[in-house]
Amino acid sequence: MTIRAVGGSLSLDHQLNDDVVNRSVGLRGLSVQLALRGVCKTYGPPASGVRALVDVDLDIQNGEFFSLLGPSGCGKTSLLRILAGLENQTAGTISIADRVIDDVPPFKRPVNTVFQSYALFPHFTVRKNIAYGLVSKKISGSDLNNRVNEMLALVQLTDLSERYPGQLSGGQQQRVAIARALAPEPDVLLLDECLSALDRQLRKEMQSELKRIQRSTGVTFVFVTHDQEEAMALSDRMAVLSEGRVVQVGTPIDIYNAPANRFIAGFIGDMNFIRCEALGSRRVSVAGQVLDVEHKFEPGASVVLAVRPECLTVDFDGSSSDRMSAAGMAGTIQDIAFTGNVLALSIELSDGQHLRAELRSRDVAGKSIMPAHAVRVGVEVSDISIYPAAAGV
Amino acid sequence: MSVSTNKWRRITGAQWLTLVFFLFLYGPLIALIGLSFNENRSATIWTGFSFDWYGRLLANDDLLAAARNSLIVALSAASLATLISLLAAVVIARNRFPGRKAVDGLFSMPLLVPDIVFAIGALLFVLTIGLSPGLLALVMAHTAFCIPFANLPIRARLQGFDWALLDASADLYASRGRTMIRVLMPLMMPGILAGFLLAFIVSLDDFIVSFFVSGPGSITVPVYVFGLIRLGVTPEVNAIASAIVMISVVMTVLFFFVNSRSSRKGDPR
Repeated sequence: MTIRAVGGSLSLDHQLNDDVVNRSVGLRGLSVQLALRGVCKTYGPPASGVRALVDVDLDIQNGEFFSLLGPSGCGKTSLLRILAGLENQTAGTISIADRVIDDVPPFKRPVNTVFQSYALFPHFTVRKNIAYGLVSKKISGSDLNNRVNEMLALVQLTDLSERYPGQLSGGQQQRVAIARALAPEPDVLLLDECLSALDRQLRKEMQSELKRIQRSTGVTFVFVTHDQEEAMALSDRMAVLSEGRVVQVGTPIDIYNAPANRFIAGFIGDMNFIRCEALGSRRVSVAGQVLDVEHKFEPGASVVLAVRPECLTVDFDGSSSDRMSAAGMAGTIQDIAFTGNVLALSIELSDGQHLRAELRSRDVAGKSIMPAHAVRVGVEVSDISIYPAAAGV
Repeated sequence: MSVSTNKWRRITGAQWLTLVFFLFLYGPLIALIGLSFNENRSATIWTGFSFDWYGRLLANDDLLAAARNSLIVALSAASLATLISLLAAVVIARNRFPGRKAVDGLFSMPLLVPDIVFAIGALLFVLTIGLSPGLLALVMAHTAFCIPFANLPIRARLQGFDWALLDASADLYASRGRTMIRVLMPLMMPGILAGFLLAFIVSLDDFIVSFFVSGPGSITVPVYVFGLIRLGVTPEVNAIASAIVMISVVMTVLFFFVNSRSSRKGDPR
């Protein structure tokens, strides 16, 4: 399996030895903290069981905020539990700072987890919860107290240290869970969908809180989520998983701008998929417009053109005089949604396909935009990705 | 009460019926306890107040022997039943295996079997394995019928148990043993205590099974009382019965105290 590593600039085969990997990463002045090679997980009998993870290769760097993103059932939580040592991989190797940890039990791994349900000990106070890992590690006296106080201050819960978890709000419980996991100074902090239980407002708050904590502690964060917006907002880099495989690794910007395949194009951000006819090896026709694209394919093949809603331009006057000479795809406005900074249009193309365009409100100020209005939709060739047509589109 | 202001909601006579019901329920107990303080030799004719009969109980060697047996049996049976229930409940709650529901159901089944049937079965079993009726047989039989009672609160406690807590403990460098002592046990303790108390009361009060599997010299208090009654109801019997009631009440109050405290304190549920 080939993946892109380090910002998508390198292609690596997992059979290459670790030296090559380390050297290539070293060129960028970073060190690999967590390395996964060919990690597989099968539930049930090896031959016929459910394959939760297939040949996962990843290099996560020291001090990085790294997200594992994918729809539910893609294997991301299995991967996290394997990293924590709560489950064992069926095949493959995991190492932390060049030390293989495959046979190290969870209570000896330098890895701590923030659980989805927080899993705070209900019979301990906040202070005792945070101290739990330190006490297990036989830290006591003033060292223990100082570290707990430091953590309490980090998550701004100093005043609530004698409360029980049952007496805290969801957001406060979340902070305790983070403090408890960070207290023993893990090499890697794992976070399992830990914001998903919070309401929207609190979620936004906790996102920036998480980012702040990660920056101030410098600990490597591995964050599991199914929320692509959250992953993009938080991550330095992320890996997109689908059906147990890593489909793409890169910075949020790289993945957003150059999705590796159609699944990612649809999963990350909003995307219009438009079926179209291939006229020549680099030429397609859609809704009356002929586009010369950078991609190459068989003439006559059925392909799907993908373009982001914010990359479209809409010409509201083009239809008034002579339709045929105007550039762009012909269509009709179906629905208009104004959300403040953005005006979202739902447009039906002349061939019956639908697409969504997002315009900046200030760009269309003063224009009269009405449903059933005929328009021309323009698109830059550089904003287009082309994928082979699959069933269902 | 605001309910009585809504006339259409009122069920005519419900309050009086409730009063009659409580009298019916507790009348015999009150009469029994009252008459145990009667100084007259006849159990039913009140002539004056006295602690005499309670004094006599303490001097009655047969009764004290029976009380000793009852305590030994109840303590051992309740402990064994609690331990077995705890292990079984953890296994059933933690694992998925075929027939899991059936196994779970089997734990409550004995509650539905008539005591007399169970008693005969217990006696047959004891004789079949070559044991003679006695203390050991009593402990075995009591353990068996106490298990479903001990199982009830333990299972209820496990039902809402967040197993991620054990993961969290392991993740935070605690070994298996430490996780047991620091997390599982403290959180299960109210259920374990409640299960033990319930099993203890049930064992202490049992008559039918004890009657069948106790041997000479190993009778329990209820069996001893039954023996006395054949000679007529005396105030002494009243006093014994009252003592048993009081012990049961204390245990029951303890049981509810343990249960309600555990559901209040620091529990996120």
